[in-house]
Amino acid sequence: MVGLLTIAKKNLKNNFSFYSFYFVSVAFVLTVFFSFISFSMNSIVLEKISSDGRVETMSRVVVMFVMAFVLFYMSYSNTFFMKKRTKELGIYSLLGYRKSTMVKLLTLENILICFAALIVGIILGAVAHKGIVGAIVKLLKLQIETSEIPFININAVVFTFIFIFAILAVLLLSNWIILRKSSLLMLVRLDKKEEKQIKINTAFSFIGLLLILFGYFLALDMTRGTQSLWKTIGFSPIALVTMISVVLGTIFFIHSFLPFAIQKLKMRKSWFYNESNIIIIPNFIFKIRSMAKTLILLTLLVSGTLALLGSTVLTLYHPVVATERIIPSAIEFPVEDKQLATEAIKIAEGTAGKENVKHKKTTIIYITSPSNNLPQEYSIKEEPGFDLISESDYKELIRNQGKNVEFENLSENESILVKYRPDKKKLDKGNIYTLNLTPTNSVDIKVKDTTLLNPIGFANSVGTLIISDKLYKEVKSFGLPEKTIISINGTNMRESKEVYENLAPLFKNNNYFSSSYQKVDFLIQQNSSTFLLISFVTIIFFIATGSILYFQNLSNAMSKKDEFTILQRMGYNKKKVKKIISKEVFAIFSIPYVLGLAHSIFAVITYKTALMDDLLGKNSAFILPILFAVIVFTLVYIIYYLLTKQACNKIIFNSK
Amino acid sequence: MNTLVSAKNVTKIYNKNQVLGLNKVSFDIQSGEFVGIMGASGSGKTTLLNILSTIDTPTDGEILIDGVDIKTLNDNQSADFRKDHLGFIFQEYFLLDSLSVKENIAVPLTLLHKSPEEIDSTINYLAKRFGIFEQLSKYPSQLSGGQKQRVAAARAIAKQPSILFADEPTGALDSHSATELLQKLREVNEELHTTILMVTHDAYAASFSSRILLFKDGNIIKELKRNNQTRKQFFEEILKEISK
Ligand SMILES: Nc1ncnc2c1ncn2[C@@H]1O[C@H](COP(=O)(O)OP(=O)(O)OP(=O)(O)O)[C@@H](O)[C@H]1O
Ligand SMILES: [Mg+2]
Repeated sequence: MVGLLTIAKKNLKNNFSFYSFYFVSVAFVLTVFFSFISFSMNSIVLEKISSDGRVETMSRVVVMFVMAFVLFYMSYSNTFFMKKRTKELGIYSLLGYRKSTMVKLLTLENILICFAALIVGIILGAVAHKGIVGAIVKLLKLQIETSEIPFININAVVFTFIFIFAILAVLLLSNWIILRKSSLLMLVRLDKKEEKQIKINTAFSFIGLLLILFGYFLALDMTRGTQSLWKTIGFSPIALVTMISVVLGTIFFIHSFLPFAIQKLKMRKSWFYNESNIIIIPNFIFKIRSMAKTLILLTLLVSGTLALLGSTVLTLYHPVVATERIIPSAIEFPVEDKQLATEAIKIAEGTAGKENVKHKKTTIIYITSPSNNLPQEYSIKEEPGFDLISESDYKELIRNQGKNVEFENLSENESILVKYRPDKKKLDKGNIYTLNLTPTNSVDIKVKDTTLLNPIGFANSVGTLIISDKLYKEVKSFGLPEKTIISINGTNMRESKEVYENLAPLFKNNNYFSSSYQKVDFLIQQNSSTFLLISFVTIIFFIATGSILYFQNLSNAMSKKDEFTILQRMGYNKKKVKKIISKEVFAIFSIPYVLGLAHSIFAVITYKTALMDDLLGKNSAFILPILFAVIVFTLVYIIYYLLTKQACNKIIFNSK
Repeated sequence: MNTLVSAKNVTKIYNKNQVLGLNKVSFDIQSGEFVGIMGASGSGKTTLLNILSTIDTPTDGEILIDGVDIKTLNDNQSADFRKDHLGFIFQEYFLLDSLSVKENIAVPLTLLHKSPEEIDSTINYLAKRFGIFEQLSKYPSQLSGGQKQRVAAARAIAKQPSILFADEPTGALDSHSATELLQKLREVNEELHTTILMVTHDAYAASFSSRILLFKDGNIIKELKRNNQTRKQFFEEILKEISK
């Protein structure tokens, strides 16, 4: 008998293109794995970026996740290869090889591939880890001597080795079980299992559709606010119902509705009697049941990936954009000490140049109201009331901030209410509030309109009411409590690090001193480690989705090679065959994509409504980050599609 | 009658310094003929058929089918040529497993962009003719070998090819199914005037044709004509000839 090592080597060589994808994908997975393990064992960086152990906890969770994924991925591809090779194994068996010998052969091949992939993975992973650390240090401006971090972390190598050997042991065991269970006859025939003609259950197919729609309906119901089922019944039960409904819906949809719909499409003869459709459609119906499990898994993976990516980007992006409202001026502080205020302005002018600085002093008057139709803003603050600002102050501030005022001149008993949260219906518009000037004297004022353009940051003023200069002067004469605020604006002031850093020491323990630069910087610091960890998970999801699609399509192509030969004999030219192949691959790619995209969009809508404080009321702040996530995902998906298509063409056209 | 296929000095060399696949083979086939090709295993029958059907290319020689020099065709042109002019039946049926019988027969017609009504009526006509009307909505895996081969024949004839190539069409069939298929082929030849070129080992199958080319080691060694003999008489003649 030929030596096992020779057979194994020959096998790898003969099926090179086939194994090369396996090798590349395993190497890639191990690269991600190793770089992540190195990162999670990198105490120097972890200590710096996490003060409260939050990052450590999260990375521990992600490590578990990554390990579970590597195990899943390796066993998925191992099973795939086993199935592809049953015939070959059957022939060995016919020739008199024992099953134990075959298990040894398979294990030997696995070890060869994994070992090579491990070496590549460790080297690339180390490089990736170095890159990540470099990026973090730069982004977060950490004081770390990067040269102190070893290029290859020995502990991580040991850990990776042990883990991979554990996986190999699991694979060996599962291969042994599969082989032991299978008889010789099964081995010879397993690879061409007869696929039964499917029976389509109309009821199930509509249940699938309805369940998905019901899930979407529940997700959208969240936007109804306090009246929604999420509030009246409870968050967890509705979340659970939504989730179950969508998952079950997906299962029935793919299992029954898709074949049902395609069966119906077949009735349209003029469409169906077409040189490609007549091949693709029956093939698809024929295959769908055996592919259903994979397609369902893929749909859920795509939904998960997109929802995760979308909500992460949204969580990072939204607060940064919202800073525009939270701190509308570049720098803002209340005047408690006049000298300090003058000095601060001087410093700002000294740093950025006098001509670049616009500073404005605004005095707001606190006033209370006995009305009972008061807006929500009235009671948000510690002591309920309105902050009155004069029309001319308001307009000047807004112009200093580079924005346009949204209203015309106010008459004496008119006002504009600055809203905290967007309110499309403008419920407060037209209300009349009574303002207490003295315990016995009051004035009535009408809300002419509301606006989202707040002149002063929410740290210093909420429930701001803009009134005419004339009324403002009158109210001021009553000597109500006041607060004076200095707002500094100017060219590039919002991004100016120097101005902030020069001013900050003056206001060391002042919570009302706010800087837009500082706020954005803080948000980036806070979230970047989260973003990094989520990125790891996303990349892993990407690989999982892409590779499963690749393997599934390759396996389809291999089983249909003969059919394509027949087609070519019947007069299908290469172009037409390629068109059929690409349409079939496209169909398999598009189902999880379209369904997953829809699922994830509803998931993100729910997430946004439930957990995010929307101050902007601008759709772009919501759509842009999601669009970004979708585009990134789509690009990766397209790359996988092209690779897969090419590999399928290779299988069909390479005669061997 | 006009000449449909004309082969001159067709030679096929698979490997240098090995037996020739075909050695300067020349013959003509008239339109409407039913020609059989017989010969021992390895004598070059499949090679000839593959070359005539543009699946393979000859090393040397000239072949005209329907006035087209098939040597000059590139990949796409030869695919179009097969699509427009040629029909095939193979020993292994080569039906598409995921397509129903009806869909299988429809494939070559869709390739020719026939209208749905025409496709349906052609399928119904042929299905009745080949005795597979009841099977139209079944799938290949639910058919017997003989039925499968009749479906393959219907599929090959559906587009009314200039010439129908059959490589051992009865090779996998029992004698009853074989006879049934051969009778259908002869009917098609006589009634629809489809030209047929059929490769076979079997003298009985060959006796359904009107002329037989005997192959040996890549050469035509003899030609037998049926003329006015009955099928039985022709069968006897073939048997005599090959036992020589
Ligand atoms: N692809 C190939 N490469 C090399 N030699 C080939 C190839 N195909 C056929 N041959 C050789 O050419 C010769 C003719 O083969 P061919 O297949 O035409 O025989 P055949 O008459 O069809 O035989 P059978 O009745 O067994 O089908 C044989 O010697 C065969 O070994
Ligand atoms: Mg042959």
